[in-house]
Amino acid sequence: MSSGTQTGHEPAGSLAQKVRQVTGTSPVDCYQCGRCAAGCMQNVAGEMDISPTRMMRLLQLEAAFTQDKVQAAAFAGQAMGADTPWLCAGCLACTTRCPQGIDIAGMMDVVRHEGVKRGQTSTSKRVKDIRALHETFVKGAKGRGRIHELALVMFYKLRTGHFMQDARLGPAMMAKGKLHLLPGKALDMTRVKKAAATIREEEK
Amino acid sequence: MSTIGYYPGCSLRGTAAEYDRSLKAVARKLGVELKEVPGWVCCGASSAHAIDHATTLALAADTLAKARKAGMEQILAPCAMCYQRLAVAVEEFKHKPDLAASTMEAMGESRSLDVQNIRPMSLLQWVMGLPVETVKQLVVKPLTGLKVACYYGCLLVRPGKMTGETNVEAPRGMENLLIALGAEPVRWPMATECCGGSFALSRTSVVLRQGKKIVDAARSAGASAICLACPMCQANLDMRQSEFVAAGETQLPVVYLTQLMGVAMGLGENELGFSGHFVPVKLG
Repeated sequence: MSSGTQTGHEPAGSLAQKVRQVTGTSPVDCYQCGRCAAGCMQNVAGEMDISPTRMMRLLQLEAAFTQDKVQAAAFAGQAMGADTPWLCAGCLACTTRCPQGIDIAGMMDVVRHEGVKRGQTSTSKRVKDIRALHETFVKGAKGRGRIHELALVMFYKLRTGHFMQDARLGPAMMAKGKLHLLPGKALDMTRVKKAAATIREEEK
Repeated sequence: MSTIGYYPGCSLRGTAAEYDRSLKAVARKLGVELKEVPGWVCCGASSAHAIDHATTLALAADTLAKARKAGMEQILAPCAMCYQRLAVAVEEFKHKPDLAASTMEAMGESRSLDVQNIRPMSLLQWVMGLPVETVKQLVVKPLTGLKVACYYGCLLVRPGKMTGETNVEAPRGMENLLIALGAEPVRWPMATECCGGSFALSRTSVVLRQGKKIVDAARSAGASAICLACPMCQANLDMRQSEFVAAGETQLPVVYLTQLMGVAMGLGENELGFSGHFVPVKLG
């Protein structure tokens, strides 16, 4: 939930400050209890390279090292370069359970967005796949206004080379009438693009 | 006859066609007209949210503006993801009236978005707002003896501040409705765990892992069906169930809440779309 609060102890330009701006809450308030990490289905399953609690700590460290810009940047780089923000499913269990009321899933969004913006994201195989799907999806949504599920799958496979993945599922879905062969009519997306450009400009 | 705005979203036009069909059939029974938002666009789902905040907000703004133009206040978004994206956008615009104004201006709207008058509604919120007596009066085939695991997943209840859910760890809305329909909801621990959502394509192992945990827990609790209200959860638990359920174990049908309401209201297979399911739907 963004309330846009500007107060706090986050140094200008830090990831923590960005989280404060976007979510109205700050990782600086985290006391490392570990409840987010304990309830995160991705972390518990061993998927994440950095736990959500550790991610908060990295943002705290970046915010604390005001006298050492190199070290601060290294902490931020470690956060943005992790696979974790991409493996977050956005299920909001952490945000709901944080005793300090910190929007932890919102923090994951900020770290991911900033990583993309600054070109400092992880380039691991799994992140590449996850990112490819997101980018294919957004292109479809922005381009035609509605998602044509079959095209989404095809373009994703072309991009990643995972041709054989779910090869049996496709025809079965088709037989059950769950996949349409042809996309619907494309909508005029001009004004959505204009709106997105305005929002992007205002949130710089 | 009352009328509410309807935002089906992309899934209900494709993989979740039976959700759309059963919802419309149930709404007809209830005397509720679902008026589709003219020219609605995709919500951007978890993908736009993950990498492109401006596009996410712009997509929601477009649909919300079109709904307001059509005079709609309540917008029913049966897909939990669509609901979440619209509701989050409304919250953000409430907090940032200047951004709402400039966004509307960029879209060529003469007025800003009157966010106080828009209420995106999840399917759960909609059914919880129905008078129980009205629902009970429509029951002609009670779901007697049907043991159901009510599966909420993430976005129907979280965050509670936005959804209005007071018990985010153990919601009871679906259970209460199913009891009114004559069914027996089971107690089980996975009701609000995530199904893995959009990792279905990009990291399938996550969805298989979560799916197995969820279906196994429902079965252990004695359920013979899983009931839900999200197309993503339904696809992940139903389409892939044969991939993750161990050989020899029973597979559980995964049905939409609207389908169970329809069965209890005496609606037929044609209106409920059970033929679209992968795990055959045999109830009771």
